[in-house]
Amino acid sequence: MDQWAVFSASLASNLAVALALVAPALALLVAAWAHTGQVSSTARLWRAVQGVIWAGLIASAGAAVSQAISPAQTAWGGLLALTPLSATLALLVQGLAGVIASFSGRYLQGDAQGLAGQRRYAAALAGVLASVQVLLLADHWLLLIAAWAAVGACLQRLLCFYADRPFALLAAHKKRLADRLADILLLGAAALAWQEAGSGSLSQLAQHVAQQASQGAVSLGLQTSAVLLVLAVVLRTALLPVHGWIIQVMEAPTPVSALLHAGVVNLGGWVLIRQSSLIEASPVARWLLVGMGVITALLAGMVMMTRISIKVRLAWSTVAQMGFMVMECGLGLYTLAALHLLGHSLYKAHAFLSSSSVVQQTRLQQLRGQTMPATWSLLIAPALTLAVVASIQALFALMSIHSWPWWWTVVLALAWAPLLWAPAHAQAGRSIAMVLGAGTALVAGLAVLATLAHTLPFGLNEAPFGAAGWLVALAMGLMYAALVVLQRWPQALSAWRRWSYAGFYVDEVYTRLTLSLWPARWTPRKTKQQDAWAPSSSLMAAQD
Amino acid sequence: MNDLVAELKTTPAQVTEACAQACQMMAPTWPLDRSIAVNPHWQRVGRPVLEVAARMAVLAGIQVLPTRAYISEAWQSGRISEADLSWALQQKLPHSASLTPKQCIEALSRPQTLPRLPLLIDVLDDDPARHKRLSWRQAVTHQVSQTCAAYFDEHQADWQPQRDEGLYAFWRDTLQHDHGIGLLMGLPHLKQGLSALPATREDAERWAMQRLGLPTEVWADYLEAVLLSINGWASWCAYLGWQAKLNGEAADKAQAPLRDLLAIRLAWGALLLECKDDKAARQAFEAVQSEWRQAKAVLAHAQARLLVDEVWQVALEAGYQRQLAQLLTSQAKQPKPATTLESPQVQAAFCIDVRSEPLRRALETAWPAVQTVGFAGFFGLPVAYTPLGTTARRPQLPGLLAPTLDVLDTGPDAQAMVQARQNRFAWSEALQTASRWPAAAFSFVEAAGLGYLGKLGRWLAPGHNERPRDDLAGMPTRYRPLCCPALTGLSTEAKVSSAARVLHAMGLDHDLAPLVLLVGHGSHSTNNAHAASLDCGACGGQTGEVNARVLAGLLNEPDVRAGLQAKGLSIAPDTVFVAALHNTTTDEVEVFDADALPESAQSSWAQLQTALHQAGDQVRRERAPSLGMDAQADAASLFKAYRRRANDGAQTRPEWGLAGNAAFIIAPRARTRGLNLGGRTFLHDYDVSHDADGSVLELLMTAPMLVTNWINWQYHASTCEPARFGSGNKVLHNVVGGKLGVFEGNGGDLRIGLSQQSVHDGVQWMHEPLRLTVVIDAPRAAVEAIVAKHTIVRQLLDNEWLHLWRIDDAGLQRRVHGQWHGLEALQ
Repeated sequence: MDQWAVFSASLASNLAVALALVAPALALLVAAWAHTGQVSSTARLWRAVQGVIWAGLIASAGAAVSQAISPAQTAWGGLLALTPLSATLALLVQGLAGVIASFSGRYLQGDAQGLAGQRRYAAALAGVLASVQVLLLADHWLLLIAAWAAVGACLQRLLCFYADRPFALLAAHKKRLADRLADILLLGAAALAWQEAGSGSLSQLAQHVAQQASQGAVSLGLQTSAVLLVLAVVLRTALLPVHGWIIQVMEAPTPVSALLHAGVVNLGGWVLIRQSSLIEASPVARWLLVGMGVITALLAGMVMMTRISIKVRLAWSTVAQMGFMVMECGLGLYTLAALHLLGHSLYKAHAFLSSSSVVQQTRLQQLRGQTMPATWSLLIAPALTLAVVASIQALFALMSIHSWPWWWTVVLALAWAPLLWAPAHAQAGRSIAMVLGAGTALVAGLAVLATLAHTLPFGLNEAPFGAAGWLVALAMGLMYAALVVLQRWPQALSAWRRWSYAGFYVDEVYTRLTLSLWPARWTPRKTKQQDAWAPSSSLMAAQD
Repeated sequence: MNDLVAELKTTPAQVTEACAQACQMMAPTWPLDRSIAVNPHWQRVGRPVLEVAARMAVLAGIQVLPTRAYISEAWQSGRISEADLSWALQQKLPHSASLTPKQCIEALSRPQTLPRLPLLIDVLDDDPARHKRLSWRQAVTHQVSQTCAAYFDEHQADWQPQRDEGLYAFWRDTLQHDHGIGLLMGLPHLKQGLSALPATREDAERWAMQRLGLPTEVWADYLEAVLLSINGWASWCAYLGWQAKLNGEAADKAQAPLRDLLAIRLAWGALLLECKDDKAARQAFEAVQSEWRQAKAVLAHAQARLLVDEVWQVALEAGYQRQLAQLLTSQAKQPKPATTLESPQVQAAFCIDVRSEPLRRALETAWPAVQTVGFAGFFGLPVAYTPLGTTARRPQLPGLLAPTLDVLDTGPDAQAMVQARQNRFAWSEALQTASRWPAAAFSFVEAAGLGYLGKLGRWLAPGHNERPRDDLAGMPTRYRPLCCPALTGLSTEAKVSSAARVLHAMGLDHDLAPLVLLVGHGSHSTNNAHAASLDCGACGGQTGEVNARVLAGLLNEPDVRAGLQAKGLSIAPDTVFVAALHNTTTDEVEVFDADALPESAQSSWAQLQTALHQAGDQVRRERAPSLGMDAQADAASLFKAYRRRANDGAQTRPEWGLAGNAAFIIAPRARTRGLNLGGRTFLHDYDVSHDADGSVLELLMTAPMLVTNWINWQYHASTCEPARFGSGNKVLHNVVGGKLGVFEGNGGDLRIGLSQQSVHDGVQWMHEPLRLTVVIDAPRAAVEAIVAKHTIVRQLLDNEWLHLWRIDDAGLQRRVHGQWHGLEALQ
C-alpha cells in the first residue's frame, strides 16, 4: 500500500507521465480482452481495438502537451520518464498502430483463420503497442529490457500468424535467437552500469557519466557497458550480419511488415538516443556504431538495388536505413537520427501498406519512360548539389539557424546528386533544362525542409564526432562512385552485383549456424507436404 | 554406375523431341499489368479431362477435378441431389457401370490419395539430417525462382545483371559463382559437382537424361513432371514463347526460355546426384526407374480411381444445367413479340463478360425501349494503344491474337499537351529518384518523411473518388477531356472495311437505333496487384475504354459513313455512336465524348442517363449481399459504399470478377431477355438469319468460345487446386519484377492464377467449379461443320472441356460424343 501511495502521489505530480501511461494501459486492457474476453464478431473486435488506440492517442497528445509545458520529469522513483522526443515517438507509434489496426481489420476480413485468428492478431498487435509505449517511457534498465523483450514476444505471435508456413517459423526462430542474445547483452550492460552508478535509473546513470566525463575519465566498466549496449542494439535493429530474419518475415500479412519496419525495428535508435551520454563516454562504442552502421548502410543499400520483389526490396531498404540511423547516433547527430526515426517510420509504413500498388507504379513509370544519365552530369552533379545545399545552409546560418556540421553537408550533397542527373538523350518535350530545374528545386526544397525539421525542439544535445564524420563522407563518396560506375559501366561491377544479389551470403551462414546450434522444429507438423513421396505400389495396394 | 549408363542408347534427337514435347504442355501466364484468364490445362486439351486429371495427380500431385471436401459439402447441403448423381452415373456409362450411387457417396468420406511418381530430387533427399535444413525441392525451387526473377525482371531492380546469353547460361554462371546454396542445402561439396555442369542447354538435357536412364517412352512424362515442379516460371516462359510466336518467330526459338528452364531443373537433379556417393546414387536410380517403369499402370490406376470424382463433377454440373435448361425452354415457349423489340430507341452493346448480364437485364427493365447486345469487349478491333506523349505501347485485344492496328491519342493541340505532360513527368521523376537510390533515400526520409503523415492518414478512411485514369497521368486537368484515342495510319478505305466487318459481326449492320451505345468495361480497385485481372480480358487485361472510343469515333466519321453507304450498309445520318465504360466494381456507366451529341439525340440521351442510373442501382442491390453490404440502404449511400470499397487499398475483395461463370449463350437476345441468369452467363448475340455463310458462327466458336473456356477453367483450377493454379493468400503477396507476377511470402515459385480471396469469401467458395455450358442458337449442320473443320473445337468437345448445347424454338439439345440428344432426361 505504501508503494502504491508513493506511486499515485508521484503520478499526480507528474501529470505528463501519468497521461503517457494511459495509452499502454488501454492497449494492455484491449489485448487481454481480445485474447480472453467475450468477442462476438471481427467487426466488434476491430472497432474496440481502434477505439482504444485513438483514445490512447488523445492521452498521448495530452502527455506531449503537458511535457512541453513542464518538461523533464521522472516518475515512480525514477522508473519512468518522459522527454520531448519520447512524447513525440509515443504519438507516432500510437498513430501508426491506429492506421495499421484500421488497415488490418479490413485486410483480414474473411481470413481463413476466422475470428479466433483475428483475436490472436489483434491481441498481439495491442501487446506490441503497449510494450513499445512502455519502452519509450522506461527510465530504468530492467523496465527497458523487459519492455523490449515483450515487444519481441508479442511481435513473434504476429510473425507466426500463419503457423503453417515453414519460412515464417524459421524467420521467427532466427529473430528469437537474436532477441535472446540481445537480452543477455543488455543485462550485462545493465549490471555494469548499475554497479558503477549505484542505481538502475537511466537518468541517474546519465548524470553519473556526465560527472565522470567532466573529471576527465570514464571508467572501464561504463565503457564496457556502452559497448554491450551497442551490440544489443545491432542485434535488435537487424544490422548486418544479423539482418536475416527481417528480410524473411514477408510470410506474415502486409500490415505486420509495416508495423515491424515502421514501429519496432527502429526502437534501437530511440534507445541509443536515450543512452547517448553513456555511449559518448566510450569511443569504442561510437566507432562500433559508426562502423557497423556505415557498412550496413552501404552493403544493404547495394543489395536493395538488386532485389526483384517489392517487399524484399523494402526490407533491405529498412536494413540500410537502420544502418544509417545507427551511424548518425554514433556520429552524435541525434536530431538527425530522431528525424530519421520519425520520417523513416512514416515512409516505410506507407511503402509497405501500398506495396501492391507497385504494379500501377510500374505502369506509370513506363509512361514516364526510362532515361540514361549523361556521363558529364554524373560527374558534376555532386558539385551542383553541394553548391545548392551549402548555399541554403549558409543562408540559414545568416539567420542564426545552425543545423549540422559541414561534413554532413558533403554527405547530403553526395546523397542527392542523382536528382541532378541529366538525361543523355532528351525525350520529346522534356528538355535537360527542365529536368535539371526540377532536380535543383527539389534538392533545395529538401535541404530547406531538413533544416527546418532540424529546428524541432526535441531537446537533444548534439555531440558531433568530426573524425568519424569525414570518414562517413568518404564512404558516401565511395557509394556515389559505385552508383556512377553502375550507371555507365555496369559490367565492371558484375561480380559485385552477384555478391549483392546473394546478400553477401551472410544470412546463409547465420541460418545454418542457428539451426545447428539451436535446432528447432520449424517445419510445421500438420501441413500437406508437397514433396512428400511414397512408393506408388504401397498406395495402389492399400486402396484396391 | 557405368552399367546403368551403358543400358542407354539415347540419341540427341530423342532427347530434344521429348523436351520439346514436355514444353509443349505448359500454358502461358500473362504479366500482372496485362493479366488475362488462361486455362492452365490449355495445352493438354488434346486429352480427355479424366486422363489429364490422372496425369496431373500422378506427375505432380495436382488436383484437377473438384476436391472431395467440396463435393461432400455440396452433397450434404443438397446442392447435388440424388437425381443429379444418378444422371451423372448414366452420363459416364459404360465406364461407370461398376459404380453405384452408394459407392460414390461412400467415396466422399475418404480423401482421394493417388500415387505420385517421384522425381530424382525426391528420392535423393533422404539423409537423416534433412530436417535441419531446407528440403532440396524447396531449395532448388528457391534458387531457380530467384535466378529466373533476376533474369526476367526489367522493372524492379535498379541494378540489373548482364544477361546477353540465354537463361540456362545465366543460371549456370550464377550457380558457379554461388557460395551459399551448398551451405543451405547441407551440400558442402556442391562446388565440385558444378564442374560437371554442361555449357549448353542441349548438353545439359542429354547429360541429365542419360544419367537418369529412364525408358524412352516415359521421358516426355518425366520431363513434364519436372516442369510442373516449377510450374509458375514455366508458365511465364510459356508466355514469352506465346508472344514470340504471335510476333512470328520460329517455334524452337520461341520455346527457348522454357527449354532453358527445363534444362536447369533437370541439371539440378543430376547435380545432386554428383553430390551423393555411388551407393546412394544407385539406390536413387533404382527407385526412380522402378517407379517410372510402371508409369502406365500407375496412370491407369489413377484414372480408374478418379472416375468417381468425374461422376461427381458431372453431378455438380447437372444441378446448374437443369435450372438453365428450364429458364431457356420457358423462354422458348413464350410468344415472340413479348421479347422482341421492333424499333428500339437505343441500342447498347456490352461485352460478353458475365458481369454485363445483370446490368443489361436491369437496363432493359428500367427502359424497355433499350435493346442490349452482347459482343466481345474489344469490339473486334485488334489494336495496340500508346498514350499521348509516351512510348508505353500495349495491346488491347484478346491474348490469342497479335495487334495489327495502332491507336494514338489525338487532341486539338497535341504538342502543347505533350509538353505539359512531360513537364509534370520531370517533377515526378525527380521525386522518384529521391527515394530510389539508397543514399538519396536515407536523407530524403529525414527531410520529407513527415510528409508521409498525410499519405498514411488516407489509409484510415477511403474516399469516394472516381476511377483513376492512369493513361492520363501527368496530364493537366484542362487537357484531360480533350484527349481522345483514334486509329492511326489507316486509309479511309481500310477504315470502312474495318467498320463494316465489326458492324456485321455485331449484328448491327441493319436496323440501327438512333443512339448506339458502345459499352466497354473496366474495374476500379486500389492497391491491388491483380487489378488488371478484373478488367476486360478481351482487351488484354485493360479497360475497354480505348476500344469503345475508337470504334465510336470511327463509326461517327462522315467519310466512313459515306464509305459504308457505298458498300450498301446504310446508317441514318442522325444515328450517333457513343462510347461508354461499365465500371464493374461500382456498376456506374461512364460516358465519353458525349459533348458532341447532336440535338436530335438529346432527349433519348437524357432518358438513357436516368435508365442507366436506375439500372446501376438495381445491380448494386443485387450484388450487395455477396459483398457483405447493405442491400436496403438508400441509393446514394449504397453507391458511396461501393465507391469506398473501390478506393479502399486494404480491400482484398473489391468485386467478385467472373466468379460463378458457368455458361456461354450464343443467341439473339430474345432467347434470354427478361431471364435472370444470375450474372453467371456470357452472352453473345448471334442471329443465324444474318449469317448465311456461317462465317460469324465460325468466328464465335473459334474465338470467344475459346476465351470463355480459358476464363472458365482459370476459375475452375484456382478453386480446385489453389496451391498450384491459384496465387494463394493475397495478404502475403509480394510482387515480382514490378509486374511479372507474385510470390506468396518471401519467395518460392512464381504464383499464377487467382488468389484465394478472388474465389472464397472466408466462409464459402464464391465460384462453383463447373465446366462451361455453351448454348448456341444455330442449326445442327452449321455447328457440326465448324466442329469438323477445327481440331481445337473438336478437342474441347470430345475431351469434355466444355458442354455444347443447341437451342431452337423446339427446345434444347446437347452434344454427346458427336451425337445430339434431347435434354428431357435432365429436366
